[in-house]
Amino acid sequence: MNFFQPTTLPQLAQCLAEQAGPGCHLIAGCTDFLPQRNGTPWDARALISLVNLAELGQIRQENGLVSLGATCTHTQVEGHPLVRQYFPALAQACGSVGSTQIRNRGTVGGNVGNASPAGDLYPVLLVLGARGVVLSGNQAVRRLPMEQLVLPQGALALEPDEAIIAFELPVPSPGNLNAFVKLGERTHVTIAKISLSASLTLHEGRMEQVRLALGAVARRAFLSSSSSALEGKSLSKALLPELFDALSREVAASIPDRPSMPYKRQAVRGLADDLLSALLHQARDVSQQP
Amino acid sequence: MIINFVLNGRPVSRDLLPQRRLIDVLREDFCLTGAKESCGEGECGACTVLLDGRAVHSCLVLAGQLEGHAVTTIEGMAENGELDVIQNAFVEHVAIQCGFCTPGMIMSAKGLLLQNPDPSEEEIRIALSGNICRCSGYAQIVAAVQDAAKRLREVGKA
Repeated sequence: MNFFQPTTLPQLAQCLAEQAGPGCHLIAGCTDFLPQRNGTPWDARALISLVNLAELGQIRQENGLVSLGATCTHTQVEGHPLVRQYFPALAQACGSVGSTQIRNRGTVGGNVGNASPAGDLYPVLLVLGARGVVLSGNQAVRRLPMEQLVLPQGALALEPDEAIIAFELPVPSPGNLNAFVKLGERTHVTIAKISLSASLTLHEGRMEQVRLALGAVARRAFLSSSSSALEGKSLSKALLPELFDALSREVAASIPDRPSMPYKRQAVRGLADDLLSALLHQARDVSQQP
Repeated sequence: MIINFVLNGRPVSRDLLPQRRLIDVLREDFCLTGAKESCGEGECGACTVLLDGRAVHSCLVLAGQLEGHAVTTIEGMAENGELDVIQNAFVEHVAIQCGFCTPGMIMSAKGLLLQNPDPSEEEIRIALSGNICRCSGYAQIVAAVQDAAKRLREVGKA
């Protein structure tokens, strides 16, 4: 087996061009890669480790975008000042992935790249309007909206010789609120049974440009039409019955035959309640800023 | 491939297959058997070590990714035959029953106190939430970490 540790993007492109194909795996924190291989014969012909690419471990703001390198760890993203300032939903999601040990090692690129239906970051990046930056073996770079980066059946929409190198998130407009809530078997170290992400703009007390995403419901997290239960309304807990009804109907309609449907269509009530609380909390913080 | 890294403060250089897991390298090649393997998939925390000062699962780190990094195991905690403050606190609070989870618990606690010398009980519980103790000694473990944090603050080193 060959083990590659490129340190520059041209080196990564060359590895992709020469090695991509069956038996070649891109790896970073390995928190999914290694458990998936427990008890199975070693199948790798080549491993391309991304963690020595310094550029992929950076978070920076330029030209109205915040760029998150694909190998930034959950711990790094959760604590980064730009993320805490603009994207509390992302900080919350990164802070609720696995345990401290997993967050110290697992990466945002891996979380999205593994395309688990219960992945916490994809729905957040979806509501925040992020794009995935993808490098291919011929050194070309393309940018894909999150809807196109992951296919509806829950697989990454990339060619074998392509790698996610970053995510770009537009800096939110003033008055933006964004939040992420999830429900699992316990409070910490838990995989989402269902998650809800939101991004919206408060304008003269009313919610506009509301984007909601439901995670761990269908094969891929999706933008929710229940955002219409909030659009144009003033933010308050009084919206809970209407939001719950809309989400519950949507969950039931999207997975009618799934055994977990009766649970999830009820559980979403708790999430809707948590989400409204998180948004109200943020709205108070925003209004108290000078 | 030849891999150079720092193990418990000492530079080491070994010819290792890059796909081997850190826990296997520690236990088989260096005879450091403090880190325990239980689940092998990042759920139980018994294999926790520090990588560059941060708690990680040694069952989920590949040897090939160690070049230039620093690994600290439970065996690297005692200095000159004296147990570390956290180890002593675990002993004094009887935060140990069978002991299988203890090395991982202590390394997670060390990782926390390096980042946050004055953690709240909630922060301690979150930092240790990836370490499972099946003898159910969490109350004593949390008390031990609180006490260790206090003692480390008093001597001014976390």
